[in-house]
Amino acid sequence: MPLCPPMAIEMRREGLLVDAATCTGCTKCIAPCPVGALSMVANPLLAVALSA
Amino acid sequence: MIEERCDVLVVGGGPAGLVAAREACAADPGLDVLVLERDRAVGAPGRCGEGVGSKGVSEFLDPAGASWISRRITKVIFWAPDGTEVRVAEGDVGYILDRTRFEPALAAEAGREGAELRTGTEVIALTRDAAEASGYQWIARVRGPRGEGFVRARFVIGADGVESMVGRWAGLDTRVPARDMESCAQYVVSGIEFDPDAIYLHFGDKVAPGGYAWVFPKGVGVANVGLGIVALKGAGRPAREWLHSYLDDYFPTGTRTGYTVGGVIVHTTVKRTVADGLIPCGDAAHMINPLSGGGIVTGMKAARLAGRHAAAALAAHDTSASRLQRYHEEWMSLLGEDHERFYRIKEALNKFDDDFYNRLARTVNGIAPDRRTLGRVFAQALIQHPSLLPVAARYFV
Repeated sequence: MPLCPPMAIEMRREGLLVDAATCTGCTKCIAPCPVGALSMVANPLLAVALSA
Repeated sequence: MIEERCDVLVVGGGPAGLVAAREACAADPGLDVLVLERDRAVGAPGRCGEGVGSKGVSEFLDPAGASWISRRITKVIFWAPDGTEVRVAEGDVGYILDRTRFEPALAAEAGREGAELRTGTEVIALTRDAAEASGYQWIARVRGPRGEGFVRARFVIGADGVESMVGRWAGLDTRVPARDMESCAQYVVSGIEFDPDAIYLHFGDKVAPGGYAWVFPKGVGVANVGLGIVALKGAGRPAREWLHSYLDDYFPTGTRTGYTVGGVIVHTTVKRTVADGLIPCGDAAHMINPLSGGGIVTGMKAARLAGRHAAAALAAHDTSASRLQRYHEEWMSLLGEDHERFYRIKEALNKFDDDFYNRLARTVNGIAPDRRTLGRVFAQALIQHPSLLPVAARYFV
């Protein structure tokens, strides 16, 4: 399976941009982050959130 | 809104983008070639281990007395999981680059050929207007120091790296399987002891599951120390935590003077690398050696093809995907098919445990150092594990 099957993530200069409308909340993006910056939050419209 | 035009728009000012620009200009000095780099400087911030083979890099820049070399490397040392040391190659192995100087050197060459480089400028969207009669079929929305604007281009080369958007915008499937993405972290570490003429590659499930740890010397006592893991095997710990454990175990006294994190694609070339008037190259098209994770020289080799094909297609007034398919075919016979073989070897090696590598290391150390080639190391692996034979047959045939 691809890292982000629906292609909801865009890497911008400012950081990661997750398109909440496209994200399916499959969580496949969480483990590969080298610093563990991604996590799931309760709001399904914001399936993935950035932490420190 | 500013709107400007160019013949070839190169997205990304890394090694691939800069070589593509140089080659396109060299093939046709009349072309208007523009390179856009998102970061404020080319070559910085550092994004990788900076290792290159000497033969490969020499095809693009002359290493003699070059300022972009941090360290010349003459030895390759493998560490088995239990720490058994195996010296495989001695001689003219390669270089550890100083990418803050390497990319500027490539940029200067591209500039001499007539390419224009603009840093601090990000492409944030790309669309194609197929009905555009003038031939300026691609429209890039860009954001730079002077605000937002548009660049219309007759041809686009996507050299935008592992985070590539260009291919995606053009409808190419550039997604990476999770198992083929190495999650990497690296520190520049000062004040540690190691052989500054050697690169060290350290394997093991307790060191870097699914990948390896590396020590790439920047100088005496200073090295890029990093590792890559396959996240699915990482027991829920991110790569940076694995690296902290590694440094605590092996280089506890060093001072960490900088760090970088990122992904390295250890897959094979994307199935489709051409669209109308657009080709991706380098990391953006997964043109990386999947055994080593090395992508600098391979990316430049792909970019050389990309630049030449862009110029030839424009000269022939035919930038159709069907004509550009020649680029894909040339790349596949140059290196793409090798990468597919390496990928099968990677898959086979993934099946073995630490014990296998420990035994292999001890067997290889029984071969005289001057006869210790990678081929013989591989042959030893075969003797121990005949199940590798089908893979090896494909590798050598």
